[in-house]
This record gives sequence, C-alpha cells and structure tokens, in this order.
Amino acid sequence: MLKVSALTVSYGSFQAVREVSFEVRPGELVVLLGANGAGKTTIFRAVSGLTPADRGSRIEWAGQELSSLSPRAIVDSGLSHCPEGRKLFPELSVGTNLRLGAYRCHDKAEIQRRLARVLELFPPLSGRMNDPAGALSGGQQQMVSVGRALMAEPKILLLDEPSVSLAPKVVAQVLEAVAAINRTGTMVLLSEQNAYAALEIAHRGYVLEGGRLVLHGPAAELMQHDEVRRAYMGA
Amino acid sequence: MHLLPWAALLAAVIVPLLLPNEYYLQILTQGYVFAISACGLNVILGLAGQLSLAHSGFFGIGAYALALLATKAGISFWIGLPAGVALCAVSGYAIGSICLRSKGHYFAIFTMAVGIIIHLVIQKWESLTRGHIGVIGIPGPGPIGPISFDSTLARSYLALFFLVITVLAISRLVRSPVGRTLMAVRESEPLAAAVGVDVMAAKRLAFTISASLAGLAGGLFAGFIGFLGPESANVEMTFNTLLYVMVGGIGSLAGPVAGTFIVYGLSQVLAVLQHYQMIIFGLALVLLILFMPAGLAGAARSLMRQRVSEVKPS
Repeated sequence: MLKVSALTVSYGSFQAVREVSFEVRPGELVVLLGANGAGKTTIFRAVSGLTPADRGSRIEWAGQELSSLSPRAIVDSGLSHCPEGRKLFPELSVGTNLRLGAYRCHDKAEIQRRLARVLELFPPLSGRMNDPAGALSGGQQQMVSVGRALMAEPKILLLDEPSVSLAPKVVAQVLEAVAAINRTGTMVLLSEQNAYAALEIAHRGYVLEGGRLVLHGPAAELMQHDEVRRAYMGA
Repeated sequence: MHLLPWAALLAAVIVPLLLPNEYYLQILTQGYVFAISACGLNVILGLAGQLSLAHSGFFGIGAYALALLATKAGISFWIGLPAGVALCAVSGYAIGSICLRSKGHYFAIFTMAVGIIIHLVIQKWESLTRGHIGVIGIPGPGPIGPISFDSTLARSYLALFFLVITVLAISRLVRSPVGRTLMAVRESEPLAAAVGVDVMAAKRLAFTISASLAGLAGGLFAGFIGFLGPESANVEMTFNTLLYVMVGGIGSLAGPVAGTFIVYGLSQVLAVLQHYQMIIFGLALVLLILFMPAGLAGAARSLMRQRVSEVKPS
C-alpha cells in the first residue's frame, strides 16, 4: 500500500503542494484530478524521489519511507513512474526505450518476456521497434512511455497525465490499457484532467485545487458530485 | 554500408606506403594520435552529452607521465604508456566526481578551469617538468620481438593500430547496455534517473573513459615526437579537438576520426599561409555550422536516408 501523509513540496518559497494525504490500496486504481498547476506532477515527482519533499511529509510504500531513498532505490522497491508529457529518449529506438525501462533487471530472458507482454498490450509498437521514438505519433509515443514504465514490472505504476494532447479515440485506447494493467493486479496512481474518462476506470479519486486536497471518494460518487461535474465535465 | 569501415582501413594501411616523404608520414601519424584523442572527447560529449573542456589537460597528464617516467626513471615506453593511461583514469575519476556535480554550461566552464589548472601546473612546476623548456630526449617505443618501431613508417602503423582498437572498443561500448545507459543520460537526465539509472555513476564512467583515451593519445604523442612542452596541454588543444569532433559529427563513430583528418590535414596544408589560415578556417567553420550542423557524419546520414526514401517511397 502507498500511503502519503501531510505531503508538502516547495519550490523556493512557493508551496506547490500543501499537506496532501492520500493512499492507494492493494489492487486499486486511484486517480488524482486537478487543473493545470494543481500540483499533480509535483506529487508524482515527490513520490518517485525526483523532487525532495518538505520536512514532515511522509511517503510510505511497502513498509519503507520513500522520502529518504534515491530514485534508483525507489525503482527497486517496485514503484515505476511514467512522467508527464510522454517523455521519451527521442533519438533512441523504441526497442531501446522499452529495454531501458527494465534497467534494473539483468536477466535477458526476463526482459524478453516483459517486452512480449508490453507488445501484447500495445500491438502497434511491434512494427516500430527499430524506429527512433521521436518519430512516432503522439498516441504511440504514449504507449512507449507507459510500456517503458511497465518494463520495470512495478507493483505500483504512477501515470502522470497519459492522455494529455491525444486524440479522444487514442485517449480511450490508452486508458483501456491502463485498466487492463490494473486488472492484472498492478496498483495504479493516475493523474488526469480528463475527469470523466479517468473516473470511469478508477476505483477511487482525489481532487486537488491549488496544491490542496479538496475532495475525495469512490469514483462513482465523484462522478455524481456537483463540484466535479461543474469543474471538469462542463455539466 | 558495412564495406565502408573495411575500405577505410585498407586505405589507412596502403596510404603510408605511397606517401612521398617522412614529413607527410609524420603528419599522418599525428593525425592518428589526435583522432584517438577526438574519439575520447566524443565519449563524454557525444555519448554522455557533457561538454568537457578539460580534455587536453588529460592529454598532457598522459604525455608527461610517459615523458617523465622515461627520462627521470628510465622506464620504457611500453610501461610508461599504460601508466599514463592509468593515471588519467584515476585522476579522471576523481576530477569527474567533482566536476560532474555541475551541469550544462557550468560543467563546461568548470572543466575548462580544470584544464587551465592542469596546464599551469605543468608549466610552472619547473623542478619536475622543466616548464617552458620542456622535456627532451623522450625514448620512443622499443622493439617488440622482431618488430622494431624506430622508423616513422612503423610508428605510423603502431598509431593506426591503437586508433583501430579505440574505435572498435567504442563501437562495442555503444552497442552494450552501458552505451545505452550513457545515451539515455544524454537524452534526458531526469528520465534516466526515473528508470533507475545512477546518472552520476554513468557520467563519471564516461568521463573516466574519455580521460583515459586522452592520456593514451598524449602518451603516444610524447613517445613519437620525442620532446614535450606544456603547450600540449593547453586549452587551445582542447578546442582543436572539439573542432575535430564537431566537424566530423558529434556522437558518431567515424565522425571524430574523419573530422580530425580533414581539419588537421587542412591546417597543415594551409600552414604556408601562416596567420591567414585562420580567416579561411573561420569561414569554413561558419559554413559548416550553417549547412551541416550535425557534422559530416550527420550530413552523410541524411543523404543516405534521402536516397533510401527515393528508392522506396513510403
């Protein structure tokens, strides 16, 4: 279980995230909703160790306190972060991008097995393994990005806005793949602006505003919530 | 495409036999030596994406290690050369551990300062290095079994041998998981860290390899020329090497070698013009940056891609 309590992250004197607490329980797919600048990406970066959290913040994962570990040790603990904006190694091939996801695994047969699994999840990538990742379409790049995170065979996957600037049809495909990943038992923490689509596949959700948590509850409840409907669904 | 390296190697083996006199042969040999140094710079710059300007400092360390061991302690070329490389590896590791804490332009400035310090130490430590006077009478490579390296021709083949080994080693490195790791760091440090790469260790490794190759080139340089002055370690040398890499194509395997021969060869041809050569050089460089920003290797690659797409439109 991932349990974040009183997480505060500051950039200089600016507090991007203030006293945020949430948890992801075994088997769950949890979504963080919020507009641009609400602090979603900062939370992700703090959890995966890329941005230091302020004193007093606690990030517990699998019995360990993550805020004192290096990003490398955090990857080893079974947490894999797929950063926002489908960040890839653009000049390296799709195959190399994916293999780098299994960086901490040195068993060739195991890497091959994971690769086969990712290609099963994202068939369009099969034919493009030798192309530079930067040459792919937006949707395919997102598949590479998610695939690379999966190559670490994580126990929990952090997906930061996987649907950003993708065509609606592709968004559905990517989120369907995320749901499929979750069904195999991998815990998922997802951040989205696309509230409706995300709540459809999530178990529970948290709503962020200006770096604070303002609302949380089961996905079905949030979908009916006036505040959420007004802010994110234009209804 | 796979014929090209073999053709280049064949040419490299035949050309020395056709050269009209020793002078050209010596230039060719120096070209090989500088190409090794350029390949070394390419490891940290092209593979790991860090612009190190301490390069000729390590060239100087390798050169002076061999020169001083030989002239002060009577240690042979064949021991002095690896000793110089080892010294560069150790100092490269130590210096890299500090410099690599800075990033981007700051790293470039930091390493340039390191390069200047190394140069100054060599120049001012007169009791050890004889300062401006330099070290003279450095013995060349002694014979290995029946093979003697006294002739310029033999030394040119020896330099070629080391260059080929260097290029082969780097090509193995590029294809290895370590090479992939370095390229990942070059493309995006935060992303590499996010997949579990120890970014600092990767960069330090590249810096150490790069420094070692500079040391190898420096040792060969000292042994072949027979005398050595502090200007071999000055920052100008670093910028020359950088020029070779940029003209040839940063990050490509053959680029630094081709770049060295074109720029170094051109500078020798233009040497008759003395200071005017810089005018021609400057102009050629501006044109190159404008029309071939990825160097010769980059231009060749895009030409090849064009031809392929003409044959097979997709």
